[in-house]
Amino acid sequence: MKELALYVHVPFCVKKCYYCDFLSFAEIAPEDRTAYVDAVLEEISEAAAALPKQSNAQYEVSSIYFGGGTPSSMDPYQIARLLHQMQDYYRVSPEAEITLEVNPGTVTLPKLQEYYKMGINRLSIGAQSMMNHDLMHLGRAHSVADFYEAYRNARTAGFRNISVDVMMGLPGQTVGEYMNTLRELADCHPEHISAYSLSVEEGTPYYEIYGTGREAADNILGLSKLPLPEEEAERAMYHATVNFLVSMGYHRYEISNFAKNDDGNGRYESRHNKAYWTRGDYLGFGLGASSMIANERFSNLRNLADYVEAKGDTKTLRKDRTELGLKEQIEEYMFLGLRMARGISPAAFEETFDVSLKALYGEVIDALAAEGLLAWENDALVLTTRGIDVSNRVLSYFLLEDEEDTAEAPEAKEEA
Amino acid sequence: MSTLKEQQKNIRNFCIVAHIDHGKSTLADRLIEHTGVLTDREMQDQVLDNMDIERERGITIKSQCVRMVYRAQDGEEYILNMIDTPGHVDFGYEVSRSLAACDGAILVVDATQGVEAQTLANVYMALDHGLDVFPVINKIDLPSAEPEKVKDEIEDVIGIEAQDAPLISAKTGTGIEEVLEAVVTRIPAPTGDAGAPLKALIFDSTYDSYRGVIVFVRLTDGVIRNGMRVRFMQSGAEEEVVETGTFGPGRFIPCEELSAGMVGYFTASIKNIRNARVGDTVTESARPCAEALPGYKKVLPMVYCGFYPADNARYPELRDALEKLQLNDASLLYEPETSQALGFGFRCGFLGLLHLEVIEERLSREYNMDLVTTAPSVIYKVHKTDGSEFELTNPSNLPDPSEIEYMEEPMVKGEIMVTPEYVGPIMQLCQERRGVYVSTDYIEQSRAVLKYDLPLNEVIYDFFDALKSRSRGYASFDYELKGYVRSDLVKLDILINKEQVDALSFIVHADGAYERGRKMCEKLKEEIPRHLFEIPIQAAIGGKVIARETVKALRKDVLAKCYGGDITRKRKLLEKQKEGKKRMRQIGSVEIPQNAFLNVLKLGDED
Repeated sequence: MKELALYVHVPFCVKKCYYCDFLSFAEIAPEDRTAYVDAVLEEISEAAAALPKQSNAQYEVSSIYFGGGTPSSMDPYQIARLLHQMQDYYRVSPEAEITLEVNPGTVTLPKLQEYYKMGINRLSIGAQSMMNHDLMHLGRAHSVADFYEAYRNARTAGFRNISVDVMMGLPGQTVGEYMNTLRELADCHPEHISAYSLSVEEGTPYYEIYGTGREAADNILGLSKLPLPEEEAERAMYHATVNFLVSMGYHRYEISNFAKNDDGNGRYESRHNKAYWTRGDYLGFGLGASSMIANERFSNLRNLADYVEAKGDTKTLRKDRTELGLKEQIEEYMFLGLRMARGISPAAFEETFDVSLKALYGEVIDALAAEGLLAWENDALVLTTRGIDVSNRVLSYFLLEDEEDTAEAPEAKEEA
Repeated sequence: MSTLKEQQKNIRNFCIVAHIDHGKSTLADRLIEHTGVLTDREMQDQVLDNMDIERERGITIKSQCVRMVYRAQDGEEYILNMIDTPGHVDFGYEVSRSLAACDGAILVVDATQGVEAQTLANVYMALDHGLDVFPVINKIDLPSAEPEKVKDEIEDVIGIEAQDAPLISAKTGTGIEEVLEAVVTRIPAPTGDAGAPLKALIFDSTYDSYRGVIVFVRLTDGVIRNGMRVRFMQSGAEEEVVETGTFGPGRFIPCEELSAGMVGYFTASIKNIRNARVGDTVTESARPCAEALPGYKKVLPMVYCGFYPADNARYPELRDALEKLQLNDASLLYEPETSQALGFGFRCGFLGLLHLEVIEERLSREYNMDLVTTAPSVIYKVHKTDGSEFELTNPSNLPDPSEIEYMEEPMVKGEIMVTPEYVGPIMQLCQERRGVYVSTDYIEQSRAVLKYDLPLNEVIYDFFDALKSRSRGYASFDYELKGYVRSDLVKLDILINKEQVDALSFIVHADGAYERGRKMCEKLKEEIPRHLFEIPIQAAIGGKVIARETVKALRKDVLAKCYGGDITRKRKLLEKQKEGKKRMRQIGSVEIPQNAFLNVLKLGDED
């Protein structure tokens, strides 16, 4: 049996947050949403047929994830249709982790009960901050009270595996304020916490304010230009997150992800995300969703009307098909694997690729270890705290040289 | 093409000289248009400026040749060979080459600006070459034109007759016929004996991948024809002429022969460009002339800097490119050198900073070279304690201070023309640049000529920009080498992360060393990206640190979100990071963006 993870993208929101560059749309009419779900249903069945011969039979789905956008803004009936379609066309393990992303303010107790009944067994709640002024500035559609209500209702509905998302490095945020947010969240005792740094992405209102380098036009969306925390403060927030959550009984298993560590078996670690980081096979359904099957990556087209029109035809939907050669597989293994706290085991590496880690990366590893950015822990290569802070740099060293790079074609050649 | 019997008396070889921006190229366009060499469709603004850089900057760098046929009012047809010349002070050598091929010159003066420093320089050069010069006054269509005043100015300042100068507007086409008539009547026909042995001056050349070197010549005596065996008197090379011809705008027009007084080109399957140097004399192998033409005054480079290929593997390509550029830019000198920081490259000599920039741009555009450029330097004379003396073109080669008795630096005679309200700021600038005041003369009330002796070293650092900014663009500047003076000079070294970067060392006057060092450090701090460790940047003189800045260590560079399963996006982020590194120069453990070298050297004059 080979494990398979399934992802469904729900590109609808109540409103767009000011920092968000995910593929999602506000104000889509209910009938258009239904048409979208219809198209995803077709894709789910078509994709099963398109799997390499016989492999569907060998796959067992270990995780299903409804992400967005805001999946919880959908009628539960639509989520149920999608879930049942997947259960019909794929062998879904009875133990599978089935996660739904939820935004506070979009769910009521009855709605959550329906999710629970249909088989959703994990919720990921986008709290982001426990300060109303942060939520306003971010353009979130909920308040702190909405979060508490959603969280309480989720427990009441029966959910025993809840993750909350929190963001650090928000405009005007101090380390103390952030720690209050984190403390309040931890006091709810969610099984899992994802703590991300705010990143300012192109094409968002935040980019207009913070990303362009020029003096922001006054009053973009009426937002005050609170300064972003200094790098030092932002990193202090991250370091404090790790220390605090560990003291609260969480275990950092990936740069930004923390799981309750009740019995040390990692049962609350996100199985779905681990599939990404460990290069497991996964299929993404819906607008812009990414997939990797048998070392081939592809992602769906990103235009909503085109997606619906394609009626699930995988040939039309799938773009940017890339067969990963050994070089790319190795690079991914490294830059994804190092995100995980358990790191890279040389033995596992050699078993996977039939080449020793040392032969390929010995020099890079030694140099980065000498800089205090990598370390060996329990026979595995891991990022140090400082290495995490500058992980972008560190990971980029694991990209291998292209052979053709070295022989650049001369363009102004001898004419005579 | 032309079957016209080209009698010497119906030939006029001339050029146009002017201060930059006074409308020389526009006038050239109008003359071409008026004589109908081009159809409208072929006519493009400023046809003669056919190098990209020239068009963009609106300046002429390379000389160009055009042959026009004009039926004058006396009813006869004349062959007018127009040789376009550069206007910028850096390109005096090019001007000189062009002048050697001419018998007369049109002086273009802007009716709103009057005589400027380069106007003078170019006119004197033309007069030195024995050319007959007549003025035309351009831009009379502008409301601020003062043609009468400008006429007086030309007579007072230059001392040539100007009362009957054609008043023209090259832009609107007014007065063009008058200019053509003046060319016929006021510029002498060439002299020379078509029956004498061939004697022709190479005044320019270009390279064509099919035909080899195309040699531009002005025939003094004799005839050159296809199939003739010719000798290059200086290089001693001999070749058989394959094709002769004259110049159409933007193209070559083959003909059977060229005779005394004519301007044209020939090809001879010349592969080795060294064999057909500009300035050399061409004669017939079978019947050589007695002695070569004097050629022209060899102009020596005043500014040196190092060019290094960003990718060291492209060193041979850079060498080829420089060789080709040198073919028609004899003032460009280069010789190989090696830098610890930059690898293999060339130390190149230029007439000035603009010349340097132009060559750099041509290498980049025409030869696709990605270059790292070191600090421009002048030539210093170093007198050593053992009594020997040598010329220093590369600051890295300066011996230990204990071996130096004293040093000398080149001074220039600078002439700045400016309107009176800016005399104060300009004088202040010259003082700051260690200028020695010589005199102030007023040409009328509206124009002052400031004379200063300035160290060339100070002139090559953004002096032009500073001049322009302090005079709101009204000052014009010209200079010539005056000689060497003893000076208190020191070598300033830059250390990045404790390692000396030879490419950034430069010579500076002791009084300005601290200031310059401080600015260099500040600028480098902006240019060097943050690394995973702290990087000290120091300026030092002989091991003594005089200024320091620090590039703080990078605290945060985290791959932000997870983007679901979009690993490709993550990869792209990392690849971008890695690509960035490739455009860096590794100095010890520090990566420095290549353009940092040039940016650091272009220290602005903001303050």
